[in-house]
Amino acid sequence: MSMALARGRSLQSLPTVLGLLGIVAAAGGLVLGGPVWLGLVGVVLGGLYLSGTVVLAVVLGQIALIAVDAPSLLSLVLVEGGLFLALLSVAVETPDSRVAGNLVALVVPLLGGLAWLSLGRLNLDPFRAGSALLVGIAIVGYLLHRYLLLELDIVTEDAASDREFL
Amino acid sequence: MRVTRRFWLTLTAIGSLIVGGGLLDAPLLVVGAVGLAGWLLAMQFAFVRGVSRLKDELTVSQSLDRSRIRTDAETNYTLEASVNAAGDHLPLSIEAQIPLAARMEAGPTPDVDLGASMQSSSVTLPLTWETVGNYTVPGATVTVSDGTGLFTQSFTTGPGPEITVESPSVGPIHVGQSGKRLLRGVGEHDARGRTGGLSAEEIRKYVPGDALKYVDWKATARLDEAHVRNYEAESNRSVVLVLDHRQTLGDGAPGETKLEHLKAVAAAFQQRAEATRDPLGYVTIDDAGVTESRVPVARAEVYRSCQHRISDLDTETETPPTATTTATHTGTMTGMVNPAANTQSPIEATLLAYRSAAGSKRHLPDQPLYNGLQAAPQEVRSADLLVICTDDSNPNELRNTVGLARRNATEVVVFITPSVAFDTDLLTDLDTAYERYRAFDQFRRELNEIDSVTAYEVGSPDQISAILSGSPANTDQRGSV
Repeated sequence: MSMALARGRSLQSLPTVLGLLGIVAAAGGLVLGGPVWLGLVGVVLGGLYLSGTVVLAVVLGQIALIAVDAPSLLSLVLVEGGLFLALLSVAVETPDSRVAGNLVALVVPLLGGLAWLSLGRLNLDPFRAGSALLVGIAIVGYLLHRYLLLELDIVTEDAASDREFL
Repeated sequence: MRVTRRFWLTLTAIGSLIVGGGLLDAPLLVVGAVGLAGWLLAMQFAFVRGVSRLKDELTVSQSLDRSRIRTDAETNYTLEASVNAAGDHLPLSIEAQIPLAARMEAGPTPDVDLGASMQSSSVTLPLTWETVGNYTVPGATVTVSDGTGLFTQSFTTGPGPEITVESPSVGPIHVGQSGKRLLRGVGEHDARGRTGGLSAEEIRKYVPGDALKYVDWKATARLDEAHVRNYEAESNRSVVLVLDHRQTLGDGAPGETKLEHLKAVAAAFQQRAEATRDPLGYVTIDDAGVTESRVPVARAEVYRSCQHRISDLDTETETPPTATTTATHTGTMTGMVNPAANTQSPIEATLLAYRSAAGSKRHLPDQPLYNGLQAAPQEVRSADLLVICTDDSNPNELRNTVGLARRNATEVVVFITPSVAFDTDLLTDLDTAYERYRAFDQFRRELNEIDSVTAYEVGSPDQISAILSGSPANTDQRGSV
């Protein structure tokens, strides 16, 4: 499966269809709220998604979204929801699809909503708020790494295994 | 957990979105970055969970079709992996580590890949073991990757099977005297009250403070005065193997040379000493002198060292690291006494042979076996049992060596390979062969008559029988038929 991800996606798998639907929705949202040339961005998004670089597609979609002047709620929902579906499609492709899919469906909207609230309603500095959230996520990621070492009983006294992660 | 390039790429994208959001004052970019970071975290959590589950569900087994093998023989090694999971699992690869002593033939590598939907897989390949010893196949390394290519995790399974690699055997060996085979196993020896425990040393009068349990009641009754019996703790008897591996020991058919026969005898002594925990030492000597020596010690590593040394012995001249005899603090001595480098005139050499000044060591020209034993540490020469394994190509030297050994050691056992029994054209002239054997046997008897010296002949049973069939008695029988 990882090979499939590395080399591109099969159009016949259900998660890929789901992801492509998300990309089409995101492209539609961009065209709906912004200039027509953003349709080209949608094509690029589809290409990036099909080539297996979902993260780059999401990044490009976010950048394209700020090119839209005062996006309407509909276009915002379409773009963000579409990009979320693209990320979700990757999660449900993993062997433990149920857990990974549920986690992504829970964590991504939760953290995204938290970020949106803190930035939009509380008028926090985007850089500081983003950095703070990122640091928090990094700490949780490191704890997960340590937990796995304990679980596998391969904890060493040297910091070599830590360096592998960070 | 090891992260991949894809992970770093994702992290860079997240960082870029945050920086861009800060610079352009665009909260949407930061929202996207946080969403992506959340996705990364969710994927990591799913991976950690998947690996934890896989650890319980995965069974990796390594096996060898034999647990005991001779060098250069082949075994089949099997690496098998199975996952007892109802659905898909994280893709994994298992790589085995083959011990350095084993050689792998060209072909499949010892690794197994299990895709997400594969439940089991195995690989079998032949291994050739080249070095004598006990080996354990190390645990296999399992590498698990996640479906998205963001993370990998490696861990090692428990150790694999054990195998004992032994030196090749030369087949049945004749060890005996005057053509008669030795009944007792090679390496066995009489206890002679020196196999450990306590032995009574003397009876003496009781003095206050002596423990009651040491009172000898019979002696007390007989002498009408309290007497105690003194005991002394005995030590095991030290055994030193003197192994000759000069060029002449290479005589004989390939694989059945004099040296191969003597190596089997020496190996029997090594095994016996290890079984009874007797201190074991050895001296190996080739044409250039002492190639290796070790003072007798009852330690596992010495038994292993001796076993490997016996196995590695060949008749090629070894080049010692130093030109003079040296001793290290570990008790190992490697050096050379090189009579070939003698620059003395013939008359000097003759005089040297008769020199026997008190306290000085006498080196005899062209007698490396004698000189080697002479140069060996005192602990080696004064062993309780000195076992000399050599041939009869230089009787004078052997006579001198046995004399020297007898003067120092408590008991001397000599194993001699008669050169006549290793002549490849032996059967062409049985009468001559028999005469040569008789001369050898006379020499062996001469050594055997020395007090505390036992001399045995070592050879192939078939060859010895063939030689003995050339005796006059057998010849007469053949003539009368």
